[in-house]
Amino acid sequence: MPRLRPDPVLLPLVGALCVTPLGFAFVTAARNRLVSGRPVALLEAAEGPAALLGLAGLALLALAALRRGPWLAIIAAALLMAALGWIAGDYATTLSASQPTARVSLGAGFWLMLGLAALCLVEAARQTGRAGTSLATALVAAILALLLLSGTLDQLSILREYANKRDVLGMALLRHVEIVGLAVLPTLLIGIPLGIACQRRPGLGRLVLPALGVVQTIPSIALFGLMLAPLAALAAWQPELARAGISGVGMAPAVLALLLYSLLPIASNTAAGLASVPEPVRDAARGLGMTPSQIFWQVDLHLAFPALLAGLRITIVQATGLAAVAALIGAGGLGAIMFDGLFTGALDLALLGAIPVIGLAVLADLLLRLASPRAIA
Amino acid sequence: MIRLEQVRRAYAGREAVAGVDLTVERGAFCALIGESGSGKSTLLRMINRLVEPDSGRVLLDGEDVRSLAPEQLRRHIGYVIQSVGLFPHWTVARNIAAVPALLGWERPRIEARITELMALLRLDPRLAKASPASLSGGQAQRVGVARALAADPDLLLMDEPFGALDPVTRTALQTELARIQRETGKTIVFVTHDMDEALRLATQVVVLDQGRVVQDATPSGLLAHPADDRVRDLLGREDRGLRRLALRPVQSVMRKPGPASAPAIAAATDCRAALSRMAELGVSVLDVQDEHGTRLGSLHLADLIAG
Ligand SMILES: Nc1ncnc2c1ncn2[C@@H]1O[C@H](COP(=O)(O)OP(=O)(O)OP(=O)(O)O)[C@@H](O)[C@H]1O
Ligand SMILES: [Mg+2]
Repeated sequence: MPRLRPDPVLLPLVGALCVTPLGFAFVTAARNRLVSGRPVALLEAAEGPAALLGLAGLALLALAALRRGPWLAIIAAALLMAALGWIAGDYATTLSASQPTARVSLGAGFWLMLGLAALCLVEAARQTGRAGTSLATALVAAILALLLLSGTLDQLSILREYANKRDVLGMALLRHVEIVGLAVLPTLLIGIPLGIACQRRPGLGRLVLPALGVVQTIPSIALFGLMLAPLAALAAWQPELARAGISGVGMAPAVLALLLYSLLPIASNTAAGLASVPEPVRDAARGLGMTPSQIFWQVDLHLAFPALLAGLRITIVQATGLAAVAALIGAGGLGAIMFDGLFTGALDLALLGAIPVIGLAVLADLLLRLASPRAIA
Repeated sequence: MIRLEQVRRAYAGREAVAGVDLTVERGAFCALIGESGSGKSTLLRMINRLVEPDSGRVLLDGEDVRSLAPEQLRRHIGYVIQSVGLFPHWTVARNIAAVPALLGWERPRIEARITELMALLRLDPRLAKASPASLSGGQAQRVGVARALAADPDLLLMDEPFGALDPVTRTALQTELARIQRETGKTIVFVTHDMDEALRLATQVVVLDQGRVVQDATPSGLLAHPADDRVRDLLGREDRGLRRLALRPVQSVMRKPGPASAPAIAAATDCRAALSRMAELGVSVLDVQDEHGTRLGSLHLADLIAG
């Protein structure tokens, strides 16, 4: 008999995976997209090969958890994730064949199980190192692509919303990126010099940085609101600006508010990065005969760069999230889809708006993290 | 040749350097020594204009340093500090090449110079591509010295260059520096807390106290005639005799080789080490031999002590 060496992380996760279906609805089924649905348990929804795949995945995962087989755990968790999507998609397909207006939404049970399976995957990947992480990433991408491209998920409510809103969603995504970009670029142009000035003149820093800190504490909705009046006044005073699209609602106040929010992380990280340059390094640079501008460009800026990049990361992630709220003042973007769904009670539509916001933030974070490791020249 | 004339510098009303006159000849090895806060660093940094005197003049080869652009001046003066201050984002090689790059040397000339300096400071050539963070304290300080020597300056300023090192590494680097100074004939001004280091390396010892020069003498002059109690304290009252012995090689007091053979001692040894050896072996005569074992002379306790 093989020796049992239960994995202290995976085993509890597998246990949770086994009990989740008993307590939470796997999907909900509604007569149409606007009414709330009836909970459907996993055991009721699961049928045929998809159910078998799920069972196999869970069994293999349990085996991997009992015998410390992280590679097996990666494959088993991936299979389980695939099966979860397949079961939900199959159920939706079957139901909508008989009732075309019926909507099947993913329930708490689905999300919980998906999350638990993902945690198993992450833990197993961590145990196997770089190769395991690559395998896990590739498997998840392949499964997602397979499920989406094969049309298995097409009848799920969220994908039907997507089918209806495909064009709008694309436009909203572009608009969202545009808002963030328009806010972040000027922030860099203002924030970096401001950070440098704050570091060189501590008096200025003690004044400016706390002031920007106060801006950060203003709730986003309130700040967007605060932008309305002055911009409306500005547009009324200078009709030229109004014709150029500047007014109390829309992009202009959104961009302006995001800019104000973004200044603190950029300016304070720039200042902190510069302050972190060791004094002996500066002394040596001066002593060797570097000019002040050479010290700034060749030493200060290089050593402050990781902190600056961290500031940029915080800024972009923060602005991506806040830009969603800006839809409330008519700026458009993914937030518009989110709020559309929320206000009409079509929660899958809200989800359709929210997922790309999260995706954008995660993507920006990832890309900037990859850019951060400081190279030695 | 360096000349400081009546230089003063005050910080917040307190004089860090209070009217110093000092001359350091070309090729001299000058040690600035004194207690913490006595103004050693401030004085040193006036020479390359990292500190500007409130009054007085600093002359290099007769030229007032204020007549030169500070950056140009500094590129022709080596500078080493205790905390090393290597550029953490550059490799060892690029750190060493800092000043030549500022001076706009050609690439091949810089490469050749890096190789040459790494050999001079006995740094493993494989370290050229290493990051400063991966170096030991001793290696980092060697790189710091190599960087200061890169553009072959005639003058080297060092602020407690070996202060942060363990005694063994410290002694090794002191020996290295003495060798480099002998081989290159550079003028070196260095700040130290350590009287043994000053006596061992320097040709000129300048004792500072509260921003003033208390004594400016050769090591043996200092030991023979300390100017006052402060200098005597720095020299260590009990150790003074031994320190004087340390300055003298055994060959200067040995007699003709005697008939009987005694325990051997190398000719390069100093008198303090010889005395220690006698005490250790319980003898009063040692046989001085060169590296081939040829007997050069015999060393008698009475001669050691008589000086
Ligand atoms: N940049 C500065 N600002 C204010 N005070 C200074 C500055 N530089 C030096 N001082 C003061 O001048 C005096 C002499 O300082 P200095 O650094 O020359 O001493 P030191 O002999 O090198 O001491 P240590 O052995 O501790 O390095 C000290 O009282 C110090 O506090
Ligand atoms: Mg000092």
